[in-house]
Amino acid sequence: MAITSMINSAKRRLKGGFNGALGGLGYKLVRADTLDRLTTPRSQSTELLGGTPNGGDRTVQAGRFQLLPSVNKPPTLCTAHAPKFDPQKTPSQLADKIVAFQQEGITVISTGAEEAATFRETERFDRDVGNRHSAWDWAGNSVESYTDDLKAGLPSPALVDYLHALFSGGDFEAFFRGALGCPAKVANVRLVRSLPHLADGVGPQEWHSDGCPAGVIRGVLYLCDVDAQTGPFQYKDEAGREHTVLGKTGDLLIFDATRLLHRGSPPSHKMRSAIDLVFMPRMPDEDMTIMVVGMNHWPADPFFFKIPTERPADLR
Amino acid sequence: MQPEFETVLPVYIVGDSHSLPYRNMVFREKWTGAWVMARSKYIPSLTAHDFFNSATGDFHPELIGFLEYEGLVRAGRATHLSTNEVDFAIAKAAGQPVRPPLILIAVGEIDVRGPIMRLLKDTYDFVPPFATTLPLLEKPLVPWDVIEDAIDTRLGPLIAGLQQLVAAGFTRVYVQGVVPPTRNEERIRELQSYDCPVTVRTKLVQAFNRKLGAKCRSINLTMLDRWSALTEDDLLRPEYDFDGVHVPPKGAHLYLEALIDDAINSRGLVANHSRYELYYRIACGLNAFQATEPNPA
Repeated sequence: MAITSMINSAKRRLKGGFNGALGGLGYKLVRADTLDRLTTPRSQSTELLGGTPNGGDRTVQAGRFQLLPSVNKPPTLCTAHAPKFDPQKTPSQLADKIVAFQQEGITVISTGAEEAATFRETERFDRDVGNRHSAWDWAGNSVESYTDDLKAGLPSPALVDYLHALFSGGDFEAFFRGALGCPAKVANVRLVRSLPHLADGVGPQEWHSDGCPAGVIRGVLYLCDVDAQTGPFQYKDEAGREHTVLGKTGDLLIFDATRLLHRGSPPSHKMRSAIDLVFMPRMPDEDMTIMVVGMNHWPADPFFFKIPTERPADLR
Repeated sequence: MQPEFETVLPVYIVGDSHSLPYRNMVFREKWTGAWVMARSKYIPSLTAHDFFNSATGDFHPELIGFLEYEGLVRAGRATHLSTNEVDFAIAKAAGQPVRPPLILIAVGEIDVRGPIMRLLKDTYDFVPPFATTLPLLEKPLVPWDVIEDAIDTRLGPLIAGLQQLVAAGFTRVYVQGVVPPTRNEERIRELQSYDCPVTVRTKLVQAFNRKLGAKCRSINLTMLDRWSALTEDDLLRPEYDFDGVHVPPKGAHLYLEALIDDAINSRGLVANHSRYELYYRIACGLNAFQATEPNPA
């Protein structure tokens, strides 16, 4: 008994000394900060985790009456799922454009100049930039027009047919598969005419990023030659350097409008006419479609949406 | 021929008894002609102060219960932003767009009528730090900072809770400003067992709403303000005095219209980036859920 008691007493002294030494270093039987973390109310510990993008981490659990953080933000790169394009492995007419798009976030593709010039004359730029197709299922412009320096219009059936044929062609099919990683459809097409003015630009004429959802990229098809006085498209590269994209009638700019800060610079002397395009992913078994939705941008939910109808102008 | 049908635009309204005038309200909004439907939850005696517990991170249990019932929250997460396969299947079966929901919170009136008004009763008046048409009574004054402190104390938990809602992905949340108080002094005596002149009560609500509006703006939310429509010379119009506490449904409709007017022009917030990520992954032939669900194999 005496021996057992002596051993137990020695054990206690040893444990006491050991814990004392650990305590001096900030440890208890478990690390002091671990103990603190375990005893901290869940709200504080979940706050430390920060926002969980899109609710992805299913291992974090909320308390019964708590909410876990989740973000609803556009990606920094809208084409993240496109594999790095290798023109040797996948040769195509627009291979160099795919490479340029992946490297710079923008590329310029020549399309029919004659057709573009014709559409410049025949299409009607007869609306302001107010949104007459407002819909709860679409992200889009405000109902009221925000400037008189821009005119807008809806594409004619002939223009829609032309664009459908253009983007259904093998070259563009290959382009989108390379640049986006999947086929694309046109989520919106609208006509935009920038009138010359010397005031600072507003709306799309200010530097901005579109905040496009994943897989959504933008296009601008010049319907006229665009020089420095015609309000050329401008963007800033990742180093912040400013680039100006002059172009010829029929040039199509395709760009990642979230990756690149950009603007249609205010035209100082000459009117600029263009077609504004929104491209979004298309399922492999889905037909190419061209949607015409006025001053809207893209559906709120790509899985379920209706094409918005137009309201009379006097309903504003 | 297929029968035609429409789905409504739901606005989820939760709060104290000021959520009651919205009950079963439907109307066509003027912008798109869509049917708007109020889906409301009355939480008895809910105050701004009880909305959220900053110490524990807990919301009022009935608020979470409402959000869960409406399918807006599951397992502590906003379902509209979930990339979980179960939530995806639920959305698919519903067959409707998954948008950040429109939510309206109606709290604050009990905070004003209870603990804040008690500071003044029929004994004191105060000078608010803003212009008002309401007269200053011949009564001793309570310093503004005392009133301000009382308002801040009541609003603190509400604002902390609203921040948590935003952080959880509920970015289209609106707060109803406290409605102008009744002119009926007897009704207040009946409710509170003491008097407090209508001009003092009205100034208190104005002060509370100014603070509430500013705090909402600071977290990118909007307080709905229909003061000018509901009042005449800053006092509640008799036609909107329903029962001495609430505005009638036609008054609630004014707030809902204001919400719709703001929301239709704030549709940059409507895009569901989580759903786009899933869509894009599927279009690219990738496993949509692989990135977010650990593969048990």
